[in-house]
Amino acid sequence: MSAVVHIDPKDAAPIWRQIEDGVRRLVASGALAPGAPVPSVRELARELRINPATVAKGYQRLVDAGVLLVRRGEGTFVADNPPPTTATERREELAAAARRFAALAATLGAARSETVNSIEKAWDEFAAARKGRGQ
Amino acid sequence: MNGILVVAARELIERRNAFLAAAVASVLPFVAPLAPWLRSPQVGEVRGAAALVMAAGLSCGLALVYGSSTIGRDLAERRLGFYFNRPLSPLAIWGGKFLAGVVLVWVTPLIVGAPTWLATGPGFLTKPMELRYLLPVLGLMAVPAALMVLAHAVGIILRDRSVWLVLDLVALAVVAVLVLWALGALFDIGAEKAVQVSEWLLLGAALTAVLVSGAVQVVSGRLDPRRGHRALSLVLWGVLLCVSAGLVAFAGWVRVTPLSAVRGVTAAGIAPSGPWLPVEARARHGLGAEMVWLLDSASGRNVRLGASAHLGWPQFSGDGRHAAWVETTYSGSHAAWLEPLLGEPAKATSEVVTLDLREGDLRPRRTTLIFPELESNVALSTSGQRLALVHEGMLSVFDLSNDALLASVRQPTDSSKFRLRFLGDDALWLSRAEENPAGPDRWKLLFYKLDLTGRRLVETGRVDDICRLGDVRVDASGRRMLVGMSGADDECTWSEREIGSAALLRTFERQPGWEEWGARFLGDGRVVVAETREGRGRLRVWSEPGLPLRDVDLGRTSQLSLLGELQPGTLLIERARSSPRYRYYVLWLPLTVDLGSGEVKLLEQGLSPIGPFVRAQGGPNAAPGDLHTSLFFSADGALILRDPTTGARRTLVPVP
Amino acid sequence: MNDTPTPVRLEGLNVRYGAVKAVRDLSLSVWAGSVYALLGRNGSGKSSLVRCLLGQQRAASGQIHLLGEDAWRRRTRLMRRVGVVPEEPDAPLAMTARQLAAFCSHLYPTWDDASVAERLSRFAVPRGVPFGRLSKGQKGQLMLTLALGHRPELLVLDDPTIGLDVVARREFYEELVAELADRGATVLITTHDLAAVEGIATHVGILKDGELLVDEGLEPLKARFRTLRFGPERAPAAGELRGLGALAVCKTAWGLEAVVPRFDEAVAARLQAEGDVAVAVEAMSLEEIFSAVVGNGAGGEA
Repeated sequence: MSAVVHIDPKDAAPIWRQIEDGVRRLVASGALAPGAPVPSVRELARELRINPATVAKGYQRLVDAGVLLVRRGEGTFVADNPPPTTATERREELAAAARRFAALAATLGAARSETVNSIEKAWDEFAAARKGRGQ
Repeated sequence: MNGILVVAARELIERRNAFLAAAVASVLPFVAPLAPWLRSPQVGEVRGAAALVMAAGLSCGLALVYGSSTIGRDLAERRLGFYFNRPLSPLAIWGGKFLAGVVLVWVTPLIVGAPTWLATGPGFLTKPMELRYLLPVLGLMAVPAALMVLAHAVGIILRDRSVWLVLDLVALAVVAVLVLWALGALFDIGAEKAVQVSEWLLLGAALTAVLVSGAVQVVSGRLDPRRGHRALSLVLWGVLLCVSAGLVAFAGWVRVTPLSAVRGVTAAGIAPSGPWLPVEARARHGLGAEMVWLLDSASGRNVRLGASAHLGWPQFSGDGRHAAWVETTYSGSHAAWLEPLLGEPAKATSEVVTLDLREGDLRPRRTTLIFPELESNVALSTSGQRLALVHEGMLSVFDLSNDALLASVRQPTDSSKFRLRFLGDDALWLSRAEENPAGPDRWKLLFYKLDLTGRRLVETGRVDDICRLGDVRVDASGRRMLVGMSGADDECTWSEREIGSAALLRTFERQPGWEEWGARFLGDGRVVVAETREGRGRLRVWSEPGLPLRDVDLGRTSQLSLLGELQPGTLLIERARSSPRYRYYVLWLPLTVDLGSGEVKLLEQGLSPIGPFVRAQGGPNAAPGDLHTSLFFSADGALILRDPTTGARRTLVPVP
Repeated sequence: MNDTPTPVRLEGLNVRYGAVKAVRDLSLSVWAGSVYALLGRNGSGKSSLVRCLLGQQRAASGQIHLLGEDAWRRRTRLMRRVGVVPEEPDAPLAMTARQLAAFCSHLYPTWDDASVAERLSRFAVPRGVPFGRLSKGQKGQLMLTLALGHRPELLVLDDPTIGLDVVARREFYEELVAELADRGATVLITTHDLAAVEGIATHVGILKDGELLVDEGLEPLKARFRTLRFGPERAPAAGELRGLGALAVCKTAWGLEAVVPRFDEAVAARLQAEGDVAVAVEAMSLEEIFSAVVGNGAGGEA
């Protein structure tokens, strides 16, 4: 999971936030299926070489949000029914990502239609992949 | 405690190669006798010597290397932090390293020597407590340990090249100066035992100071070399300065001992007339220091002349109003006590000092009479105006009013051991020993007269082959004297001579087998002779014309001393008798002898004779009842004056 | 929380070498369970501070409390609860790992032989090789193992990864993190490896010429530092920069760059109001923050 949850020191968000967002993204994208095990706090801290307390904070927020749950003696797992993202969160995330994408497209000199086309194409591929995984 | 052991164990493990080296070295003494230059039939001795040398050498070498590196190098290489990052107290760190060092330097010589000792046999182990076996062993143990501690301190000081090094050097110089002064001062006054004790004390103090300061360096300095050096220096020099200052104070205190505080009189003298006594006594706590005072037995006033090691015995004028003595200085007097180390002592110079006893302030006058080599004590004339002495083979007479030479006469080159006395102001007698190639020295007595215009001393008479039996005795008139003549059987025979011409007046025949102890004139002109034979003593009284009048038997006697007449006709003598139990222990007793009745009585209980200790200055015969018959030691050792008529005692010099 | 004393508390620390002041009137505290990264250029006073903290050097003045007690006087006892990894591995060169572990085991009542042995095996540190002949990485791991062997409450790490290669450094921090996860010790670490410590530290102190210019939590520190990049069309006036409290301003190939230590929403709003896309606001890594603070000026108040 370390390859996927990436800690960026230059990211404005604190590390626990980055972990939280990373896990959320993995769950949302289906890379982490409901009920799948996630690395323990100790393991993840060790792999990423970050303070376990930080990891614990991120995990705690995810547990509080219902994304993860802890089974005593067994470990930490993705919740069976992770809550979807709220509408506000979704809107903010999309807007932020869209801004970045639009800036990139503008600097490349792409036209509006080309930009929108590439988005639609990417979405279709992604949806097909999810369907393939039975989600 | 645990920490010390852990650190010590660790240090020893790291240096285990030293023990290996010792094991290898232990074999070498067996090889040594094979070396061509050491070939000796005493294989055992060569082996033993080789083992000893190697053991000592290895031990001391290890001590130096270990001492300087164990903390110093770790500190410099920043390796000491390893210990300080752990729960080890600084004392545990230092203590553990010190303990390891001690084990190292004590065990390695044992390893080196073990095979040799085993091969030689366990001889000395059967008498381990004898000092001559114990001392070298203790030395072998103490020296490397001391070297180790010293190497640590020096290493710390030198590795930290800071300003404190200057302080160290200055302090070292100051301590050295103080110690040398103090030891020299003690040696000056003859306190040799005090010097020895002080040297051991200083050594102990120095080693303790180095040891403690080394520990303080670790405790206080920790990882800071400068701070450690500072702590070490302050403790080390603080202790040493205190000790050496204390020593200086002690030496000074001993030197100013007043007569009331002496620890026992060792010798006393009596002036020819007058109440003055020269007294030699032990300085307080001086451990062997002896000093000389002049004491007025009438008033108790006294003046301290100095250390008796430097002084010639004071001499008095006939009228008892002047005193003179010789002060000998060694150029650089401290050099004298370094003699064992440096060899020949420095040059000696003798200076004549006089004192007018009539003056109130009693201040000695240093004359200009200074000689490199004096061969006799000084002698004062009756009035105290003139002084005679023998120097560089010359008998010279000086005028003390201006220190000018009045007359002199050369003495034979083979003569020595001069004694001289004035007879009045213009004549003197001199006795000397002359070399005799055929046997022992021959002693002569000569009379001289002063020839002022000719500036020389003229011999007026001489007596050959006299006995060395104390001073010559002069009678009350001053015209006749008693001289012992040396006979064929080496015994003395008394003869009466005319003063000046040395003409023989009469001889007091000695019966064979009798040993002479003394003779004196009685107030009425008769002569008394003290002699012993086969453990029995007697007084033989000779009448005026020269016939033996009577003998007084003194019983079992080993030695005799005639003191004087208590009253006309009663002689005070001192008789020594060997103790029946202890062969070399003599009991001296003061006895009165009534020459008329022949009665011999003990003078009094609780009196020790001064006789053997008195260096009475001969001269006009002592008058009955004067100091010669009043000066005693009390039973506890105080110098007392006993009134001959009443028997009342007055303490002159008390015991502590 | 109020009962247990603060693991490290320095007040008014002054350290002098002759006339030179290595540490000036410094006060800092390390809270229990935190990881305090003390940063500073060479010669900024870090080592002096650490030595005084560990009771190995006498400060000129100031109070030094280690686990609530005076560090100089109680050092011997306190070291039972403190693990130290020094800058230079200072174990005696002739001692093997086995001997070192045995030596230490006698000194600490809480020594854990099993974990020490396990760690040494895990890092393949040979037991019988003298310390002097181990590789740098092995030395570092051994020193850390010895420091952790008695389960200390406080770890003081003085530039522990200096000179180690990338792999050794990673292993070191992994081990440290595992220890934190298992026991939650307090850590004071001085280092030049800012990137590595960025993930682990909870608090940061930046030392310059003996003075503590920054002393705060890592999160708030990173939250308030931003780099503003002005495009060539949007050159800010000097007054504007001053108003922003810019720390370091420099011209780059892209335009102007300014480090702002007191970035907050108001500043962001003002910039957005200009409606510029030519002002980029970037968060800064710890390295960048450090360079800005130490390069030329104070860190600004938090």
